[in-house]
Amino acid sequence: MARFLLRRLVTSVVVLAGLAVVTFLMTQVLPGDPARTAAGRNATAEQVAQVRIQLGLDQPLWQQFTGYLDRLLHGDLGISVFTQRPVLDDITAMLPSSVELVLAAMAINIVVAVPLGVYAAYRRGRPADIAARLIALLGAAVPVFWLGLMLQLVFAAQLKLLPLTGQLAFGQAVPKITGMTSLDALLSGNLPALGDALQHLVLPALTLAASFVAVVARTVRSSMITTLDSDYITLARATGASELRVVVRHGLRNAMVPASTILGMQLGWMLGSTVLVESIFGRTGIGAQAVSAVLQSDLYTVIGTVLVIGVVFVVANIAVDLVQLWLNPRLRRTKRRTGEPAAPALAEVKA
Amino acid sequence: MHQPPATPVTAPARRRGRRGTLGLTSVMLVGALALAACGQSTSGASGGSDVRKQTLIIAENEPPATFDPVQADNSTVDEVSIPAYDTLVKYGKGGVIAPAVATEWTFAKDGKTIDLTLRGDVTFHDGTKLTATDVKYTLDRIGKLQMGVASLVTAYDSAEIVDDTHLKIKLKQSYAPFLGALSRVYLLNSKLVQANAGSDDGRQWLAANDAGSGPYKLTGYTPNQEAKFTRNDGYWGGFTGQAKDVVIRYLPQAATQKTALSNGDVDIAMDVDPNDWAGLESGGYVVDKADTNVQLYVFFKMKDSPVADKALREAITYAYDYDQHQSAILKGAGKKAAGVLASTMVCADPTVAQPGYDLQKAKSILAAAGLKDVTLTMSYLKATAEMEQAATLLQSDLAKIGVKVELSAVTYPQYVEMLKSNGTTPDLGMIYGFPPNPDPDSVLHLQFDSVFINNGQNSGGYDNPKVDKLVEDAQKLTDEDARCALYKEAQQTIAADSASINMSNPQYVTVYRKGLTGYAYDPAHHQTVDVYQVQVG
Repeated sequence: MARFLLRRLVTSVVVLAGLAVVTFLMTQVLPGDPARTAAGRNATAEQVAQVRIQLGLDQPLWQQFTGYLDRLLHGDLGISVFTQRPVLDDITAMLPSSVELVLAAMAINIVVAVPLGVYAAYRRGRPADIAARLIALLGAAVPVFWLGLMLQLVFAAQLKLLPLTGQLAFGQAVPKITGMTSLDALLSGNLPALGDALQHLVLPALTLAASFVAVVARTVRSSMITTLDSDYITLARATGASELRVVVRHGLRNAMVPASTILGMQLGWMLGSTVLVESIFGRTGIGAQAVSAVLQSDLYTVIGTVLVIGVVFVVANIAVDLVQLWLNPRLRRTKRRTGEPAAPALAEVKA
Repeated sequence: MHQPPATPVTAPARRRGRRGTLGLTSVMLVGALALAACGQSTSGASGGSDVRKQTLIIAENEPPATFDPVQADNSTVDEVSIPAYDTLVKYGKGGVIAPAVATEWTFAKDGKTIDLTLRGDVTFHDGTKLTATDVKYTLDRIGKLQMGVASLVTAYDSAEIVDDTHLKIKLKQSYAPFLGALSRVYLLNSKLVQANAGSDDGRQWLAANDAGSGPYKLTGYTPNQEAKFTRNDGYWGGFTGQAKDVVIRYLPQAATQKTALSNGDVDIAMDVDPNDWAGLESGGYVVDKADTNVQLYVFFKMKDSPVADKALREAITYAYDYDQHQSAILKGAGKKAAGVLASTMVCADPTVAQPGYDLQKAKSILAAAGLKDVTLTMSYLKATAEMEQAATLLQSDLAKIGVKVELSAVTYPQYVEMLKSNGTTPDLGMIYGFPPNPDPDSVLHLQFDSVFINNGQNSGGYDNPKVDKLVEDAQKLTDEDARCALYKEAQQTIAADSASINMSNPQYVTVYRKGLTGYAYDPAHHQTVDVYQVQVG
């Protein structure tokens, strides 16, 4: 167990180091000159040269890179060409808002996809099953961008049920505690603001969740079908347990193993997808930050946001493994001598 | 297809089970909705309506990189500097330089020193008095940082404080456009900035804080979402019905801006899609179309290119359908260009030769020069609908005279990269000219002087010693009429060389709710709102 975790940590570090190298090289081939960007459109050659020296962009590439790696190891992601603030500060200021959005989308994703998958499995082959799968597929087929604009048009402009953009209505304010608007409203005991923040979350979270529901529902459905056909379910039924208890307690617990893998991976994908959603709904966050950084050739911010999203991926993966261990006791027993898991390796389970 | 084994237990139980799942889901949803319903205020103008009426909310599509006014050469930074800071001078109607913090100025005979007199009643947001020391500090800081607006005041050498309200600015050389450039120099509270200077002259601190004396104070910024300002009641200019609070909201999607406007979430929107103008106008909104100094150009590559041949350049300028551009692309919100200077610029010469759409003439010029089977490369930016549509219109128009155009869409940084050497410069390069102020120097010098070839905005590598001399001499003259004479000659020369296709002089369209008064587009501050001029009524 401990060995297994240690190995995971080592591979994670390797993955992140690789990511740092690749992003650094990518920014080198991206068009655009950060020195000119920082100096401004009308700058003269001398001004650009001066800014280049200020930013250390006049050094040879390997020196820039080693300097960058050295700073990275000290937890320094560099200074943004534009905001003049340490990139890490910019990112930590914006990350909570994106996390809030991702968690809300994840909640919607689970609440919709899991029952949908279970229901489809239970009514397999019947119209209800086909309808459930069709709904999930529609969510995945519609472009995120278009869906966001449509939801705005229908629920905000026409029906006026929900706010159009932003994170809090005009005149509402909450203190900055965690950076997640709804949580801050809750912590400061401001109930109207909490309700308002949640209202502002509904449309962007729905937009973000839509494309992820289908995969989860399909995974839950297929593993649920396998589970429902297994002997122990028949046994559980024979003992006279209620159907709900059989399906949820015995069936779902096993069916959720592959689904939890997918959900964990989706955390990372969702954080990446905030790029589109945040800009449509005028929310602050790491997605909107990444877009403006690319447009402004703000090198270190681009690398920083990519790295942070990478860290989230890796952490989510480790969390997935831990959840797997908890759900599937067979993985915990290891062969005494080799330390190899007795059960098939995780990768195979995931596949 | 497997069916679960039918045991007597299952049928009723299964129903129960279904109810369970459904029940659970519905409980969750009801809970979430109940919580959401706690929010008393919904979208739109309800909830604290008086406060809302006293607030001016502007929709803008691009957030500023910083609040440090040294970067105000960029319109997004300019926009958030305008409410919070004062300048020495402003551009008034018709491109005339008007007083602001400076009440008087005189250029010395040699054009190398300017004596300025300042108002004595200006205080910064923290109550400190604005003096000549602050003006000197601001200019010195720009000179030291060499970025952003520094490119507009390259001639600045030093400043000498005479007393609190008088100072002398020394220039490296005689440079008449300097005074106009001061309209982008936002005056900093030197004591406050120095107290927070750190090791970077306060750039990090100013990126998120305000050190100004302007009509509004910066109260908060949520990145990529909104910037908030509140009225500075001690402002020297006083207030006559302006908003108590100002919010600039960052909404990149044109569709969202329109919805926000019709919902009453915002009062002014700057990026509404042209197709929505008519609908909003009939729906009770004001659609303000203002003339600008902006022009859309296609620059010809003047060296080692098929268009180095003047006959080909001339033929191309006669082959473009300028009227179609006005009606179909700009939907009427624009004017035809006349030469390389927009008609709103100072010293614009209306008599400059400007080719019109004449296919016969274009063909005969080509035939006379013996040109056929020409293929040209062209780059354009996907930044606006106007650019995209103009690129394809030009491509199809030139096909009619047998000139083939290979289009490539690039980003602005890519384009800047391409211009760095003549080898990578496209034969035709489409780009806007955004003069930072109405002074002709900001077009004729920046876009046509050979010092900016492969380094700056002389996109076609236009190299004419006569024009270089005219625009450089004009910089040294402080007499407006004498300057204009030189600039007019430069405009005529550039037109005679067919250096560019002057596609259009687009208007700037702002949509705002009825009831706002005083809004006026300011060509010296493109893509911004001067909130101090707007009354919320």
